Amino acid sequence: MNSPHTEPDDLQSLWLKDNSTPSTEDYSIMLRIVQEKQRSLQDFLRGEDTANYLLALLAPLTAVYIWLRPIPMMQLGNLILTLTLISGGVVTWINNRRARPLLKIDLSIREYQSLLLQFYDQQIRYSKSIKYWYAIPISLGISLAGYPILRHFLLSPPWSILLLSAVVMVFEYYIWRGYDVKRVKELERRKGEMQSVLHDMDRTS
Amino acid sequence: MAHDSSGGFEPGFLRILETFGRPLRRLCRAYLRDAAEQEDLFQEIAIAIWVALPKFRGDASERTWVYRIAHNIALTYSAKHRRRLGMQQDMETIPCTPSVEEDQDPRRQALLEAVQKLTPADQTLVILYLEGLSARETEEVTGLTANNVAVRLSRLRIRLTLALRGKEVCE
Repeated sequence: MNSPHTEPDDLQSLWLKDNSTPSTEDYSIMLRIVQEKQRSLQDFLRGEDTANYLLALLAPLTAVYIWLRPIPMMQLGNLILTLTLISGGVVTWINNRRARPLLKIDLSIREYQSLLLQFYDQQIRYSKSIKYWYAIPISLGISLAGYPILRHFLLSPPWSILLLSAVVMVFEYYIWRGYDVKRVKELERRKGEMQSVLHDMDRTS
Repeated sequence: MAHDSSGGFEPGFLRILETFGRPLRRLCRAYLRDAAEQEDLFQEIAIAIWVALPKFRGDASERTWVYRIAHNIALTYSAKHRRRLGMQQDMETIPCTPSVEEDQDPRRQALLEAVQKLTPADQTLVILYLEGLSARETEEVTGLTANNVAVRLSRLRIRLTLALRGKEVCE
């Protein structure tokens, strides 16, 4: 490799003989663009988190119903909902903390790509696990808490069971499709790209 | 380091862009062919520098620090770009579509096109070499061993030289 301590070679001279980019640029405009884009990115990320935290805020409401409802089945349902919503908020917070290493953008390329791979693996595991610790308990909680209400006020047993099953199935499908299918597929694709870059970097010939 | 007495990072940020603006523009042109995508990548790099600037303690040289950020962003961005175009692995089969601002020097344009046809990892090494980073700086930016860098660069230089000669023969 040519060292910069010596004169640049032909390729370097040709490369640096750059007449396609302006020698002076007004970067104050870039500063404004950067600040604006960064704000909108932060708003977007905050928006995603806010949705999860807002759901967690429903937990006190479901907790109150544990005491208000006289039927044990409904109490159990509300207890499950309360615990799941709280754990949803906590896990979102923990997951956000895990994403912090990604801010170490000034690591060497190899270190950063390895960090990205670890991050994708974590996110894939997280996305695949959501149905177990979040979707299934929520469905169970809604079913237990909602069934007596439906049965008492609206529908006879076969119809209330049918309606609840439909709601649960739609919810489970939504979670499965959003996380297990779309998100995991996207993460695996990104992981594959990073693996290919890393593999290419480690190649010596 | 880039923090000024008034508590803002703006002066440091602007100074970095004034110092590295042209090399970063060349980097964007080397990774991407489309002028709009190049501008978008440049902005992404600028955002990353802006975000990382408050944590810059000067452990590495400013040049190494800027190139680390720029290449980390560019590799992720170009992977996303190739995915969008549906040509993840096979860059070389795609006909070369020059960017809007084609270089007026045909030899320089040929060099740029040769760099654009390399794999992302090779592009990184070649750009660092063409910009004149030392072996040690290249090691610091990439995290690769000096031996690996030297072996690959010698092969890549031959490849680029041949690509330029080929262009001259055609003309």
